[in-house]
Amino acid sequence: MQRRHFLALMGTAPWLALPAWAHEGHEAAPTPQKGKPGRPELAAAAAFGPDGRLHAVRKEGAYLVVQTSTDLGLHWSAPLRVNAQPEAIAADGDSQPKLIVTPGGDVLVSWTKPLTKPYTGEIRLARLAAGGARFEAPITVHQDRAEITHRFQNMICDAQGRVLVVWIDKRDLEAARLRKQPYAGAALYMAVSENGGRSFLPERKLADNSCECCRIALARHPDGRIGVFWRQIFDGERDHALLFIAPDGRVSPIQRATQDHWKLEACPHHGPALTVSTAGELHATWFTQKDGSARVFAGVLDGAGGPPKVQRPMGQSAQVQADLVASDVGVALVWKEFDGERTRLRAQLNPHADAPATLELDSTHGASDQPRALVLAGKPYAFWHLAEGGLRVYPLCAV
Amino acid sequence: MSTPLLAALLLVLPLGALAGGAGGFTPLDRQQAAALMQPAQYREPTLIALWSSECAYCQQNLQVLARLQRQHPEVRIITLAVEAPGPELTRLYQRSGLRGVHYAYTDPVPESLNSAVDKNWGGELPRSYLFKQQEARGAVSGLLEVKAVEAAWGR
Repeated sequence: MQRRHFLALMGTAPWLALPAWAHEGHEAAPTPQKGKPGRPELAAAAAFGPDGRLHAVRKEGAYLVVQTSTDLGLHWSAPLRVNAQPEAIAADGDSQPKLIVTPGGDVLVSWTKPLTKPYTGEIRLARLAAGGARFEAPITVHQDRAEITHRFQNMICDAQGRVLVVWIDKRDLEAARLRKQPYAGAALYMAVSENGGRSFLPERKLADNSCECCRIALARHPDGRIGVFWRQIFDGERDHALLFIAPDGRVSPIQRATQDHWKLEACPHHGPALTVSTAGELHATWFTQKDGSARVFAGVLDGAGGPPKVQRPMGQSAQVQADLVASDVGVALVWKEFDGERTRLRAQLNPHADAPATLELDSTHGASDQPRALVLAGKPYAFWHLAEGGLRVYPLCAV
Repeated sequence: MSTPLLAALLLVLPLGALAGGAGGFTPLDRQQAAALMQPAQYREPTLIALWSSECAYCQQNLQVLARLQRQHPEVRIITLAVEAPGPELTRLYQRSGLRGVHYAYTDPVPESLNSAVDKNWGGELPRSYLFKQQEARGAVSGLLEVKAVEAAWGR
């Protein structure tokens, strides 16, 4: 056979290769598994605890598992199951499990459990008490049990130790449909726990007309407020909105924080990131289309309803995934981008300084999760989950 | 033919046959996806639509494309799903009533499609590319409007 025929046949073969997750999770998944066929579900999350240990969560079959590292990711403990009973779990793209550690050392994991109908889900949460051997049984965070969208959750612990969970919710869209009234997008809802995630108060709406399927960014402000930054529909334009939740629970008015005027009848499935510096500066990344080209931008939000104070495009192409975190050495920006051959992980400290140095952290030929930026004792780190390479941690300044 | 080559072919052949029959979707790798986007091959009005089974707007967009096809049977419509073939993809495609060539992007690195197709595309779906007379006639993110497509083709 001629060589070109052989190559043509080989060209059809790669999709038939078993995805990485097919080798993991030795038990068959008894519940429907969502996500794109043939793609490893790599979405992972990590956080440092008050004792300096790093906890990471990832999906393994119909389970989430947590692993812990005491040496900045060089070695990891054996996986500990988060959900004792198997269930459907979203762990792809912007549908991410989340992990936080409370000041007392409890580990909380939240995730979206897809239900039978398309785009529906429940927000689930499980708690591992400090020093505990296993996770407590998961709870559903919201009281609404309709089989509708409750997805794209994120969570944060405030200065008082309350746990806030925020998600995308379509109950108002469904109600508008019944009334035969138009409703743009979805809504943002929040539930608060005052007992460390054991139970949640009834949820409340934060905003109408959010974008339907972009992750939500949450960040602590040094003054005690929690910042919420998400993609919102403003008269058909999918820009970003910002609000703050005060320590007493009051919610600020919604600000239009980005003004790129992307008129789009679609959801980009690519949410923003937010961190607040010790000086109170609102550093963010967001994906948008500007002047006909899609890009991820890094910038500093105005915080008072004006356009961003700083806005610059990141990377060499449109498909960049970024995160950032404030630290004692400045804001650390991490991102991945594909260079035509490999996906590269890069970082900058103080990205809006004059000519910031770009750190080349890693690269892979395989599939990879979005990178995350973490901080421990004031020092920034990047965290990345690779199909070929597992959970990795990268110090961004001298340890 | 060398023995190792023959052995490799024996391994690949039956699987390759299965790939071609994966719900009617033809798998594309990143080089094939890049080749699909070359305007020189499109003399007649052609629309390449990127979509995914997870994207609700994409399903509406398939309906718009089916309507466009009914109104303009001379237009060639090519769909490219940004995921490997699967039953949900087949079900949604069949439900749309669209006719034409339909591909599925099977590279395990999703972000590689961006460099293969268009560096100014950030992965948002649906995404459509218009061609005519061997030239690119524009790219559209989001739900298509038939009138806007007709305008891009000078109708």
